[in-house]
Amino acid sequence: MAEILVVDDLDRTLELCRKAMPQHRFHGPLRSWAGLRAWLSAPKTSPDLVLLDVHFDIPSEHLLGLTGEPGPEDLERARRRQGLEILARMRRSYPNLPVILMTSRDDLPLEEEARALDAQEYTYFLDDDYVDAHALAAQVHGVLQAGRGAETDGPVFWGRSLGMRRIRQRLLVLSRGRLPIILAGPTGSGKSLLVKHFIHERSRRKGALVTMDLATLPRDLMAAHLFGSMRGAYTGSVADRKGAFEAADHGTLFLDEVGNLPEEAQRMLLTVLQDGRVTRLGDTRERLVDVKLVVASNENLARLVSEGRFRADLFMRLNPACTVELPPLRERMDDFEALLHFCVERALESSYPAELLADYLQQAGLQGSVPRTLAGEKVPPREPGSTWVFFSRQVVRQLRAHSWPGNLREFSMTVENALTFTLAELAAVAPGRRPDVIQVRPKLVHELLTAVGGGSPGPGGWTVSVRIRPFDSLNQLSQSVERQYFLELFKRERGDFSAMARVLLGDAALARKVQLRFNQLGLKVRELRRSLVP
Amino acid sequence: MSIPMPPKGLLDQVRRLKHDLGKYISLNTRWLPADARPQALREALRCDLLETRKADHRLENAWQIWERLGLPLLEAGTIAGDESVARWQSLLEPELARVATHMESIRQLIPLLDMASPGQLRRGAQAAIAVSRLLARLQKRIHLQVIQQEDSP
Ligand SMILES: Nc1ncnc2c1ncn2[C@@H]1O[C@H](COP(=O)(O)OP(=O)(O)OP(=O)(O)O)[C@@H](O)[C@H]1O
Ligand SMILES: [Mg+2]
Repeated sequence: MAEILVVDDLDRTLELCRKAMPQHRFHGPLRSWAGLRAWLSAPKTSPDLVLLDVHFDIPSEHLLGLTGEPGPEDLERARRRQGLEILARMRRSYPNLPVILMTSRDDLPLEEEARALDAQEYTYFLDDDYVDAHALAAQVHGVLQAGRGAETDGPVFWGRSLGMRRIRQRLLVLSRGRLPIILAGPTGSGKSLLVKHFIHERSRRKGALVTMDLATLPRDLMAAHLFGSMRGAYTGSVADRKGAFEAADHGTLFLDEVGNLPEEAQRMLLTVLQDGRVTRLGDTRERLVDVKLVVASNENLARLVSEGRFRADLFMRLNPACTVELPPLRERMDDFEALLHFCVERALESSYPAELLADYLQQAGLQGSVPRTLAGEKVPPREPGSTWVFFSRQVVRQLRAHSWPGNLREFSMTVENALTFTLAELAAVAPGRRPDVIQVRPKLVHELLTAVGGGSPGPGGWTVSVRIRPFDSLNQLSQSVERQYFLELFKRERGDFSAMARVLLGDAALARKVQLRFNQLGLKVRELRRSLVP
Repeated sequence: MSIPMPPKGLLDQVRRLKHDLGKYISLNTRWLPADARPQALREALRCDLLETRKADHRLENAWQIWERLGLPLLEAGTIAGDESVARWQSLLEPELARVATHMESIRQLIPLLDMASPGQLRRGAQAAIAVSRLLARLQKRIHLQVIQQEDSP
């Protein structure tokens, strides 16, 4: 079912649509820009599509596009093209909402205007000369499908925003090509996910996907892991080993956090990219490799270059002109609701929440029902077979207001946690009046969004605060404590890992070990460094 | 021999006629299957012919729209403010004359709609659909003529 707005000064289109497409919900008719604006500023639901008439025979005070003292001809012209004015105004706030203009393209007075509108993504003319109900229903179906087609690719959520659709299109092209791809974007924005579930798949390459996370690998081993090594090439190398390049032959090699690559390895990487051959450490033989390289960094590589921490010539080889920059979640709020639906569905497929759900449904006598997500809307009357995962307006507001520094990772974990705790709580009480409604409580969401508290230094040491929730594993708890302690220590020692190693392990030489642990705990050393006040 | 461009006033008027009348006069009727029951046909025609343009407070039937926008096109030299239009009206003849015939039969059907026989209803529906088609064709033809005119050096 789609939510469709009808913007028309007459009633007939709406009446016809309701008859011809009973599977969708139509709202309207909205008779002017003022009506549409009012509806959109307090939407009853988020619309999937707008059907927009072009001619509006309405009083002059409701007309857009009039200036000065309009004469009768001006008024007539403004009325005949009112839909286009409304469209232009609407596009300022809703660039991506699909709109079908209820006119065929050659009914527009101006040829250039028609062409410009034709070129707009998400704006469609009627396929048919007239509002024929069959043709319109087919077109509505087509437009809704097109909107949905690209919304997800397996585990990857794209949404409908123009920006994300462009990125998808771009990555499709880049994936098929020979050149390397740079993925940029903040933590949790989907870089690793895209490599695995989109870029490699779409590259149609027959070889494997090999991933190297340069944030966790010790720096002195990176070159050997990348290019391979012969026995005895370095201390501890006891056998000939092939490197990631050879393992990824005819496939894709993904270097995550490529900014961590040491200078020497950068130089060697450049040579491989130039010649298409690798030489294992300690070997003289060159081996041909055909590898598609993808690199990711949540630091700006260009800046690393300008700071002298990344080789400019290597950077140029990585095809920087085509860098794909993934936006932070807070810039994707257009797609908030769709993302929420997506994450709920995904969470309910993962094993633990799925188990809890099955138990709950059985207990409530609703087994077999597949819950649908309801966000910010009223709960509909009970219907046999239907169940809902319900996020009230208040919860939607809470989620929208959060800044999501951990981006989609944080969002999808929050949704999964919210569902898990909700289901676990429900299992402990007797079914209420509406067992078909699984309601996520605002209080729970509030707790989840504020759980990541900081430690506060005090006399004689630091106090860390841990919120213990049912189902937290011991490991999660101790990691949370460890993380807070590490952060405080990092600040006190001003980022000096040797000093931290002395405190923690009694041996300054074990700095590397401490740094590894930082990485394991998901603490981003580079970012922390930057946050230290100079 | 190239035909000079029709004046803009004429094109606009054709466009309006197609929009106001052509779009709505068979909106419901077109949607019905060929073997629709007489009662369904009567309902659809009542919407299409009697409430052709219906908004909050305004109501125009099909004939009233034709009187407002169509008849002036047939009556030479009556489009306000554009003398040259009269000379172009013959360009509209092929479709417009046939629309006029269909509209005449629709005018007669309007007051009888509640009592009309299945045969009359069917003919009314055919007339309404024909009006939509003819106006679409007319609009396309004039439009193309303008485009060709603009494209030719
Ligand atoms: N586009 C997306 N669609 C669905 N889920 C996503 C998307 N992007 C991120 N996620 C969720 O966030 C998690 C983390 O994403 P990913 O590992 O790709 O982030 P990243 O950009 O590589 O971050 P980092 O820089 O910290 O490595 C994924 O496992 C997934 O659950
Ligand atoms: Mg990653």
